[in-house]
Amino acid sequence: MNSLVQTNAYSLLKACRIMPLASRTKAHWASVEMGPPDPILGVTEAFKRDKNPKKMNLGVGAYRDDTGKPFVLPSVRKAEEQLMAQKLDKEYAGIVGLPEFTKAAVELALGSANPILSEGRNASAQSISGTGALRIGAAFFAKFYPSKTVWFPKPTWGNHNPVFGHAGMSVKQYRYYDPATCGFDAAGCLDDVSKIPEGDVILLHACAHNPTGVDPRQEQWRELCDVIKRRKLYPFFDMAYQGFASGCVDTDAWAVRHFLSEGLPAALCQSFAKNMGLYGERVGAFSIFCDSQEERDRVLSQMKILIRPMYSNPPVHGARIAAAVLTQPELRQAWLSDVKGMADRIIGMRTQLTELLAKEGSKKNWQHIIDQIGMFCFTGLKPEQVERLIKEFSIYLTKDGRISVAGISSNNVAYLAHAIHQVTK
Amino acid sequence: MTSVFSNVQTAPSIEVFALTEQFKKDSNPNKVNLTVGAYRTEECKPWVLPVVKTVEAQLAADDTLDKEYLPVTGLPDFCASAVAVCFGEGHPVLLSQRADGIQALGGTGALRLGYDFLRCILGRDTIYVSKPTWGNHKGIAQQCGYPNVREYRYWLASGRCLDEQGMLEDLTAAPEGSVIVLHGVAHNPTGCDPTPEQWEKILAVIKQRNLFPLIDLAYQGFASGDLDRDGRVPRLFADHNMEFFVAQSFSKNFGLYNERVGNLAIVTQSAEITGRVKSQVRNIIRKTWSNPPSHGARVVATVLRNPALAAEWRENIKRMAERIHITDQIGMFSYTGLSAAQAEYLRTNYAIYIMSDGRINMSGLTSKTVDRVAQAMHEAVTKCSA
Repeated sequence: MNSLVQTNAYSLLKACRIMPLASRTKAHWASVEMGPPDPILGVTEAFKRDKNPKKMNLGVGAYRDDTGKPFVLPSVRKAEEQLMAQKLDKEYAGIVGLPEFTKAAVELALGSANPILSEGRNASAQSISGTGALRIGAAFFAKFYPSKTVWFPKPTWGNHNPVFGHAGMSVKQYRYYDPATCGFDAAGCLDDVSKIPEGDVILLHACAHNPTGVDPRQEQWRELCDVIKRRKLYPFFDMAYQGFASGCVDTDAWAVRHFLSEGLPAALCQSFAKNMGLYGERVGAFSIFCDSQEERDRVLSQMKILIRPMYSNPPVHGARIAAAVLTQPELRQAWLSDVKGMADRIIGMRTQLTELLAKEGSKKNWQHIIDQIGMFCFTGLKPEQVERLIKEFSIYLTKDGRISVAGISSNNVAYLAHAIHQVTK
Repeated sequence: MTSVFSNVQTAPSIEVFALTEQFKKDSNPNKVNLTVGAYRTEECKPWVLPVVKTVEAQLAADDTLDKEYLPVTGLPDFCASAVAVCFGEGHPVLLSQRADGIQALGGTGALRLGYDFLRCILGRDTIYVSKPTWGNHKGIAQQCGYPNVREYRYWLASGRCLDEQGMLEDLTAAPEGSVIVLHGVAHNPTGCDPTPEQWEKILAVIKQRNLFPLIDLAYQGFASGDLDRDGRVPRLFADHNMEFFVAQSFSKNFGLYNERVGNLAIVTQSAEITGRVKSQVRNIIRKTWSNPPSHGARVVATVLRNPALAAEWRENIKRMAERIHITDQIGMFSYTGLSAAQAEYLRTNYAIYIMSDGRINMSGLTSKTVDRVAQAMHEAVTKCSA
């Protein structure tokens, strides 16, 4: 072979060796698509780009004070200062976290006199806030519960489906929100729930339903509880707003406590993101209320097996703060007052918005703004109306007409009322 | 009515936590805990790094800081600093943005994200871990649903060293595309690392067989006292233009065990691909813990971004590494070669707690206890058959 052919042959050979390798490595990632854009993030990003000085971000999922700023609770700051002075170590917490935290968290939910506590029947684990609690719960039920189907209210928090789906549960829905009244579809809900196959899991928002803000009244909860009992469904509570909804921690836990007092078993996810403003510290708890201490021990041992391969053990900073706040009488009092303050501001904004809409001359019924509770409000606005709010008024919210009441303050509530009236009259 | 959970069996207790529980309850005044992998001072106390104390005080006093959610993929300053620690400031893989970081719940969380992505998004079904390895490596694989969880030979008991031939043979025989979990430095539990020459051979096989490397880097800086020396393996892989993940832990090298500070470093062929991979991992995070804890990441980011604090940190690391005696095993652990029966003997007769696979935490030893432990181990080996 002459040298030119040799060189070409050599190049060809080299190319052959490289090409398959390149195409194999391209195959590593070829199928990796860009992840779906986050709809809420999209709202926030559009808001950031807007230069209108009157702009409002009603997509925010965190509490804001009356000046529109993030709010660190005074009781939480105080607890944190105290902790700094204690010079605690950084040793691994156990897999299920700080016992003083989980004990206090479950007591808050159930009331300290609840026999479940004294009987040691709660299998409780500190979790990575509410999402982490849901994840542990979903994984536990997917592995151990006879039925692999969980029923969600329609609509529900956007992340419920992915969390339970990822853990291996199938998801179905029961009627919940009535768009005609912007209220609770009691008849539809009871009808659907009464037809759920026996033994399935039913997810319930303990208070301040997300995204609608629509909660059943107590007598409606009683009826729902009866049906759930009859159908032998397993109640799985998501309580992300205890205290934050009505301003009273006992009122907001009423549904959970009622179900337990009726002798039903239950699982409970608790978040301290909103009610203690501990969002980024990821403070939560997951509990399964068992029939006996013996069952509790078995269930807890299996929870640990699920947690260890996820993140081994939870972060303590936030849990230490929460434990201090809940267990020290002065801090606890201060906290109860802080959380009532937040709830009152939200309730105040709802009232003001409704009054101002009337003042604007709106003939529509806005009663649901006051009837709904918690951070979010399903306004009933249609997508076209939402579009106009965004384009004409720089008021940002999601297409489903959901607003975060936390994003309203005394200096922009009038503007909001005006804008809503303009797009709905 | 029978409980729906009546068929739930008691799970086996997780050894390291169970032993520590037992240790805590032990009333023997001479008890020694050599199980859990956490640093201890000469007084056998936990040690919060001075630089961590400084920064925590700073953060607590800063009224401008709030408690808002971090982005799903973590505190950006933290992620950028973490990958810089891994690869060294200014490494081409950082400048080209082929490498990026995702904050995770400790090293375990980073591993979990990596394992989940490789299984769910890339569809990998076979994963290899070293024999022996940290107990949770297999546990995570099982939870993620890997159908094939295998081992590659690693520890040669007879020679008390790396089983080079066995390891290379097993990697060569691994199906193409298999995920290979490697220990970047300070192998847990043996304390025995491949030499640089051995790493070159390992890398060559991984490249040739198109295996996917997942490097567990839990002890960078902690092993030798030198971040660059301990970061050699990820840098070697990056220099060879490999695509791989690194699960970084800041538990040991920052002493931030309970704040769960970790980072999943992603390295691919291009910034664009890395971006896509990151967006998919972000999706996995949303379904697992939504967004990571802010406190520990703030501490680490504050230290790493401040030259004086970063220098102090490097000093703190050196101090820790120096206290741990190093022979040719490296880092926190040592594989004594004691059997489970001999480990039991030590516990029962001397209240000396070691793992049943013979692993001991070197930093659990102090000048006051080392003689007694050595004597007890000698006795266990002579009196109790393996």
